[in-house]
Amino acid sequence: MPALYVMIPAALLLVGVAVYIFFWAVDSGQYDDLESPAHSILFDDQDPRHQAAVTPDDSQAARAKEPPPRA
Amino acid sequence: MCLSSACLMTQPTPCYHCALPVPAGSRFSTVVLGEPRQFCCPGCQAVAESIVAGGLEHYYQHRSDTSANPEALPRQLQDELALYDRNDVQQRFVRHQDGLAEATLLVEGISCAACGWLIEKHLRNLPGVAEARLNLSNHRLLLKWDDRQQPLSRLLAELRQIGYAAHPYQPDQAAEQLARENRSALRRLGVAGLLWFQAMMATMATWPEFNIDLSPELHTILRWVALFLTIPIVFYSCAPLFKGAARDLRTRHLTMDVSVSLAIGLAFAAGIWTAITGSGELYFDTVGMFALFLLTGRYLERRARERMAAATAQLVNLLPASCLRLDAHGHTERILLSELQRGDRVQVLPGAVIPADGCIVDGRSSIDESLLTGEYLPQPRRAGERVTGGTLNVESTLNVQVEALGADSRLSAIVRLLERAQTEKPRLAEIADRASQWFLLCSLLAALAIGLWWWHLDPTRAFWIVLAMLVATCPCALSLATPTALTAATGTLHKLGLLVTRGHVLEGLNQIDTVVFDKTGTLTEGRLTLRSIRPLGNLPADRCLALAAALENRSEHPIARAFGRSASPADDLQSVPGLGLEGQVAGQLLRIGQATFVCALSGAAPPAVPEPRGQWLLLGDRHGPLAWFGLDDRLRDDAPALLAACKARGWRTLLLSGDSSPMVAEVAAQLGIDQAIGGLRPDDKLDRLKALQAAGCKVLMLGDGVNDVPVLAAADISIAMGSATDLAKTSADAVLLSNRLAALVQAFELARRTRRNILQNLLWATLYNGLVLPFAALGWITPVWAAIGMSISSLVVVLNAMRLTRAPLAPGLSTNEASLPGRKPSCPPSMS
Repeated sequence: MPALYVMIPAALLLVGVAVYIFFWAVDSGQYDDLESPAHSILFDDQDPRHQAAVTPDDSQAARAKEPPPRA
Repeated sequence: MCLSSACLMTQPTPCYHCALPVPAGSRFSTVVLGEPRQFCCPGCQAVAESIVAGGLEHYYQHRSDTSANPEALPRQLQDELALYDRNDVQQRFVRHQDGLAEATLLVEGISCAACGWLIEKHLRNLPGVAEARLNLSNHRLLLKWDDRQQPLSRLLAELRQIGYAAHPYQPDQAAEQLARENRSALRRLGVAGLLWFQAMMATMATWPEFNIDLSPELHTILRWVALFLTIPIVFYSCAPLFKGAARDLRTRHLTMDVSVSLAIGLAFAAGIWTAITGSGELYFDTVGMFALFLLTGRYLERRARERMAAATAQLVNLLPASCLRLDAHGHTERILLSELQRGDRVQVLPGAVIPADGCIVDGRSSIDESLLTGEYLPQPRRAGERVTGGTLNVESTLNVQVEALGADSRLSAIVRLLERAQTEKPRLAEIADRASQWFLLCSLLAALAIGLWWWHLDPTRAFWIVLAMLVATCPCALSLATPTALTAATGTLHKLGLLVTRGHVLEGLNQIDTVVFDKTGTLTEGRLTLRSIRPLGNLPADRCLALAAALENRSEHPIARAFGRSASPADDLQSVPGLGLEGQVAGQLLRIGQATFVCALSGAAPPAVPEPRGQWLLLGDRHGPLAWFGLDDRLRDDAPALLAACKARGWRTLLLSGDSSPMVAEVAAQLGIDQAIGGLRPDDKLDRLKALQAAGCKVLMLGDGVNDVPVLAAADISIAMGSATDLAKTSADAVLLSNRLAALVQAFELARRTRRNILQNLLWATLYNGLVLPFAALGWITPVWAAIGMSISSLVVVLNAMRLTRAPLAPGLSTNEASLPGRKPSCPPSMS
């Protein structure tokens, strides 16, 4: 099985890359808050920007398209 | 609207925003989501109005828990917030990058995930705000904004408008350490996982069971590759286990860490031997699997416990961040508390917290000391008398000369008492450590006996058989038994509204035999509510109430809150501290308060107080008294159920209160508490607790005030109410976020089930090891069977623990309500 002579180093290399990416993800804080992103995606459906499909930079325009306050 | 005295006794309508009862006759309402909604106070109404105005009313659809009452949040005046714009103040927590200012704020008042959505959306819509990101686990808000366009104080005021209070957050050493530890635990776990997969593949290829016809060279290469991949698992991922084991051995304890380290160490050492010599069995996959399972269990447990511990471990900010200093000419200037010095004079406005211990030089008011002493009625104070920092000025403006600050103050004396109490806290034994001690002894003895036996039969095989036995019986399931059960149960408790911040709570609840309660704010709601109206003249009760509400139209006073806010306040309102109020309603001169003060207006003889219980206020005009109003600190609705549950478990109940009124004995009698003692100072309470503990009692303490803090810290297990002061929450082992005492009854039941579950898990783990031992002793166990046995036994333990994720039913609740834990039963139906 000479293929293994290639496959084993390749596997080791892949593991090295995976560990490196994992460390980078932990250090850049991607695992610090596992709660908020899970919820925010649900609320975004009501986002007036999402509904009006305006560009994110144009928040003033987005606000103008919201329903008028009723109180 | 029904206003008769009988009607007041029934359950009031909950406020749409905060679910507190709406006071009778209150007229605060606004249209949210197309329907008119009732509110308990102008604070809630204003918050709801600004949420609607911002187009974010979907918040009310999304929230899964009631919101915090904005009036319960610390008060922040606009000029106080403006202090945060000062450069010397900002320097400590604001960074500047690419023309944007960046700061982390700690937000108070967050009750569920929808709050995060509301805060982020609201802030991002403001001009100049580049980024607003709230971390729901620790309630920290990362804010990036253009400070030339928008001062920080403006953003804080905006947050305030939608019902949240924010303070600048400066990470302390403990918090930073915790974050570092969390990250390194996750890294170790990740390394163990990623490398184990590879090590397992390399190891399994060498097993004869798979029969893949390896050439001898490849066999050697695979052995060395597996060794190479296992080294980081052992030396990096498992390092904390070995350190823990070394520490426990030094203190002569046989704990779980010791038996785990022994199993990993031996299997790894044997693996090295095999890799070099090529004879014997490879156990690298077992090492990796064991490490991964163990680290996962521990990481999850750690995460469940510390998830919100950070949120409650806030700054101890009982004292206001700023105060009004008086200069020689009587002008006031707002300064930071840290700039205050002894001998300064400060002005304390009604409704403000007194910044330091001192002596009143001018003014007359009443002081709410309930958090410090447990007295539930404000105490009258006048010039020459002393006031304590951290208490609330209720009625009118006071000028106070500062006498003690910082370490000399009464508040920090309590904090010192707390520190002493913490060091003396008894440690409850943990089942897992006791079990692992026996386990380790048994397996070592068995290994020795079997090793000797094989030494006689066949000395060449003796080592490998002992090793196979130790690996096959390695305590993987045993070490997972406790963390998995505790993690599952902690998550369930969190859903019920009980946040466990320290590990021993769930196991410890089963060892408790005495419960100590605080009264004000714990068994009672901690604020006055209107209990009955007794008209004395011809005027009907609802008319009397409307007149009284018009007079009592101040937000700060606990009595005024009981009457609710009137839409038409009285004119020419005058407050006579300690006696009552006088004012004109529709041209009619009225007084409310003490009987003699009210009757002085008409010259009539004061009528007799209807009942000795509670506080009675008289309303009268020029022609005589009109009505009595009975006020009381209501018992929480679920207090009797909690007491019944304590009794059913045979626990002794005690009421230790700082309140010196007859209310203490009354509450005790009403609830059937075994012993009640009132008028206790914080150190008296601590002494009582110490006496109990000296008599061998295991004490559960339930409290909320600053005066309970030392006792909370010293009790075997302590639970603080969610409405408690920050100091009480940080010194308690668990926080009852929902303030529902019924959740505690469920927690007791869950603790019992957790203990049973842990015992089942331990029993299963022992049983498995007992079963596998004879086969190992006969030399029939190969690495394949060791791996299969270990995975199956661990899986059984985890699945069994998962049963704890179902919450036990609350007493007296229907299944429908119990399936929505964390919500108050009195929530408006539209929220579900």
